[in-house]
Amino acid sequence: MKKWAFSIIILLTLVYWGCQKEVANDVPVSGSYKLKVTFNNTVGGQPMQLGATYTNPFAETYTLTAFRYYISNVVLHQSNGSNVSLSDFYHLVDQADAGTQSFTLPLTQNKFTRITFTLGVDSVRNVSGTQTGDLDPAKGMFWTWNSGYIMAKLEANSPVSPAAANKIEWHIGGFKTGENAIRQISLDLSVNPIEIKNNGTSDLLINAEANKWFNGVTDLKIAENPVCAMPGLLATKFADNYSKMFSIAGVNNN
Amino acid sequence: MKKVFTISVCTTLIFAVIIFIACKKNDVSSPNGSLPGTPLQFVVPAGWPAPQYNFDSNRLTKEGFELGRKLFYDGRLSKDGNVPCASCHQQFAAFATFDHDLSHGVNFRLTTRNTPGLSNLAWVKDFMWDGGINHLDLQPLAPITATNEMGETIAGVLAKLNTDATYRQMFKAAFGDETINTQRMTKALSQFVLMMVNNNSKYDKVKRGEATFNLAEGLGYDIFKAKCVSCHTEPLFTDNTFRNNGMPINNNLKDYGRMLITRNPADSLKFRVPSLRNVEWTAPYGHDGRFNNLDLVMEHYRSKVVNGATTDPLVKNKIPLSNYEIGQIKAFLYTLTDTAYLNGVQFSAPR
Repeated sequence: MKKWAFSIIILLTLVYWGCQKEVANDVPVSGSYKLKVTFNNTVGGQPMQLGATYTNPFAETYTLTAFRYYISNVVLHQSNGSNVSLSDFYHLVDQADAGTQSFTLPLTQNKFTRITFTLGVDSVRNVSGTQTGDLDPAKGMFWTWNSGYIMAKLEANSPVSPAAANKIEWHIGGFKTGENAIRQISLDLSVNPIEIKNNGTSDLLINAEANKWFNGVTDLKIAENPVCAMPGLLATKFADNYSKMFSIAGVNNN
Repeated sequence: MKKVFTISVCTTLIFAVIIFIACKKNDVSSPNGSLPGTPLQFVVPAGWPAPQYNFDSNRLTKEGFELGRKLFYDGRLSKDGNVPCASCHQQFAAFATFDHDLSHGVNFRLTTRNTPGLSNLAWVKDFMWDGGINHLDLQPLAPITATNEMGETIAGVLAKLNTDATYRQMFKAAFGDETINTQRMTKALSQFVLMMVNNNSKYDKVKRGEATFNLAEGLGYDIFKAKCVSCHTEPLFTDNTFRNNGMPINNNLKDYGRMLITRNPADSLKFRVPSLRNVEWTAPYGHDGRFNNLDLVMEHYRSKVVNGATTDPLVKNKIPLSNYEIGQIKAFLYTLTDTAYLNGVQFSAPR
């Protein structure tokens, strides 16, 4: 009987050994909790619509044609200081594609009091060749002539723009020292914490207010800055401004 | 009974091993572990520095190389179907453009720069005359999307490739399935150009002890080592730096080179030091092709260097060269011609 037991142990060990790696590879983060994160883009507090005409804080009018930004390296923090981080997670939010405005994260923990994420794409992915998925250069968020990601993009037309065809073209990027446009965002949830029920999905709604691009930190008027299409000081000012555009709109623990 | 136990143990063990192997095999078929295609060996010539390219990120295969080769010669990568990579990178001109100062793209539009020859790209870190592109895989995306080169969008190219069953099959052979995306397309192109190693010139044969310089070539080599080699470093014949060699700005092109990338005034008018391998076939010379022949290049260094704030210290006092020395240097430079490279059918248009 001992020999039977021995061989069964070997059998189970080998099966476990042979199969465990596959499971770990296929599902980096697994669990029975899910969090659906939704980004609601707004202008002046109203739901954003491409093609609509808006007024910025300087009473300049503009007609929005594109609004896109990268969300990456999402980390969910617990009140005890531990956290769940989603490495290798890069998501392009595109106002032109409703399907991109939310994503669902499978989690191993269920209570969180803070979310942090990167607005943009970390420097490593800017220097590691052609990427896939939302980072595919075919998405139009990559400078091919001066390698690097466009972290966020706002395009519009405005009668006060002195650029050709009255365009506003703000392609904000830069990952090198001195021109870094990558911004870390941290949003407190302690007032209304995430508490996902077992086998449940909680909703986290985040507002992104486009008018912050004009004055989140520094005043940047259309008439003076109609185009920003390369890394540099102006791009870092835009990045500082739009780093202030996010706020928690609500948490729904269904 | 003992026998029965032994058989049971053995059977169980065999069963266990089979399950183990079966499960392991699933691992191998996961995206990172699959190994389609016939491996292709990249050989670093003896005495050469370590390549810059990370081959771990792009496993070379015969299928990947052949896919890259087909893409390189395919006009569908351009907007109007007429401007493949090979339209500017012509093999008989060492993958530069024969007899053109500025290269041109769709709708007869001129660019602002001379097409550089292609070879030994595994040793290059930053690409283009201004070093703006930080990875070989990303390099093709610039000419594909430039409105004065191939004038296409990346999505447009991928859509065209996806309609072609031959391409879908070739992507599967190279990468394991029929998915066509930017990463796979550019990795295949990299595989093709990475194999363009140019190390069979007479110079290389002399270095390997398989040939000897004649008198003029040998004298030219000595002069070259005294007056040129600090920038055109052996064995690649470039140190891959960016320098202002005293060529004054062309007021029509207004090309400030490296400064356009770094926005640092200290980089104004700096351009890549070009490799001199196959220099006999890559005329005209200079980032804007302003020198029609090697004599004009030599004359520039001898008498026409224009000094500015960023002119390289190595050329700002000009380079003293007699007519006699120029003749010897040219004799040496012609030993950098690699005929096997210029004619190699493995790099020519696929049939």
